[in-house]
Amino acid sequence: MVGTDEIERALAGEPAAGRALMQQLLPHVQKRVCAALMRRAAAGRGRVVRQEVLDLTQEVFVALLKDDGKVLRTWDPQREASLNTFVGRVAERRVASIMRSARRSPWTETPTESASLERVSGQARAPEALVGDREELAAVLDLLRATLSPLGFDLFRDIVVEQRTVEEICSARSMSADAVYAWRSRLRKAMRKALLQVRSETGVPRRRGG
Amino acid sequence: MEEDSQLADLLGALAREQDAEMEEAWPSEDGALRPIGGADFEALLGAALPAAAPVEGPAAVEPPRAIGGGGRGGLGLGWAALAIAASLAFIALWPAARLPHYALEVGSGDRTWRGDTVGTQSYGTHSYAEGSRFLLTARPATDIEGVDARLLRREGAALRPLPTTVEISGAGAVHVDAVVGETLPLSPGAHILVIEIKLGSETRHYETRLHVAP
Repeated sequence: MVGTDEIERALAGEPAAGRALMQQLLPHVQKRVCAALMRRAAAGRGRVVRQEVLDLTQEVFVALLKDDGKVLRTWDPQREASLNTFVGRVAERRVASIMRSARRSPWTETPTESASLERVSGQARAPEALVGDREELAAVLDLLRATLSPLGFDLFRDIVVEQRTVEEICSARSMSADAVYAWRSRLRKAMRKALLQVRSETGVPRRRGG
Repeated sequence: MEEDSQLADLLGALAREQDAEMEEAWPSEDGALRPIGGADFEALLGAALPAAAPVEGPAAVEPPRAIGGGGRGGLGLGWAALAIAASLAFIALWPAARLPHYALEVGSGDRTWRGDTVGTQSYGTHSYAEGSRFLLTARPATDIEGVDARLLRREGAALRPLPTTVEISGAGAVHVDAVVGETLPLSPGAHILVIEIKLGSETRHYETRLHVAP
């Protein structure tokens, strides 16, 4: 298992350490990349293309490692989740940000490859997954992934997705209960704002919950 | 307030559902989702690890990325249909300038090189046949307007312009789509092609090596 010492050696340019680091992290990065591409496919915006999997995976690693591993070094094993979880969350945010950007490619592509993904994306294309609140909520989730700060996204995961108790979060993150409550309030505002933004971007006003 | 709580509940439930779908679908044995390994992993190593270099110095540039392989349908490039064997070595010369960094991407039909360590490493020797398609894209790190570009061939210390059409997107990306021996007139043998990108008085050169088979 790679730790901070191995990360330092990898960032110092030691080939074996760099290889070990990327071997360990790759599944956690690629899984998030594939998940994002599957969600896009489910929303009917193209199919998953192998080249995009490779490109986005590479972009996540570059984001983690660039500038002497500036992002990777923010992982604190004393205060946060495992390195794999940390990197998975970085990947989730980074990929969402890239995919949201209209400048993903100046030679805009409409992916057309990979019939082998039809099984997966076909499942996700079930009618009920494409209409109504689920589609809207998926867009809100992707917007939050792309726009929340790293800490904000971590706490979104802790509070909203994993529904951890305030005590658990305080203990894991060395935060006060007041700070967690403040974040919960902040995140609710962010969720509401994201919902309004998605509705304004789609131009289809909908009422949540029916 | 209650509505905010309901929204949080719905988003949390959907995120958990998406996580479960992700765990179920990946890794896949084949197709686009299959785990990255082999040559793709080696290319990923070569492309990503140089990014760890400190901000100052030539190694801080974004490493080249690959294109090709996967049907960029917008231009109908049809990479997979190309039966080209190519020899490509990237040598990026990165002067400190206000031009954004460019990531050089060269597709080579059934083979794609996803980058290089910054510097002068080579990926070995391959060759294009006459009639093969040569595709190159240089993407700026940030959108930039007003750039000019042309394709050159290095002859010793001299750079000779080639009559190959170079497209420039509104975002400043540079693209070459040419046929070896036709719109890219190269004789059999080894060549160094240089894509020259200019913005005002600033100029950058990005090199790629190839061999044209007799």
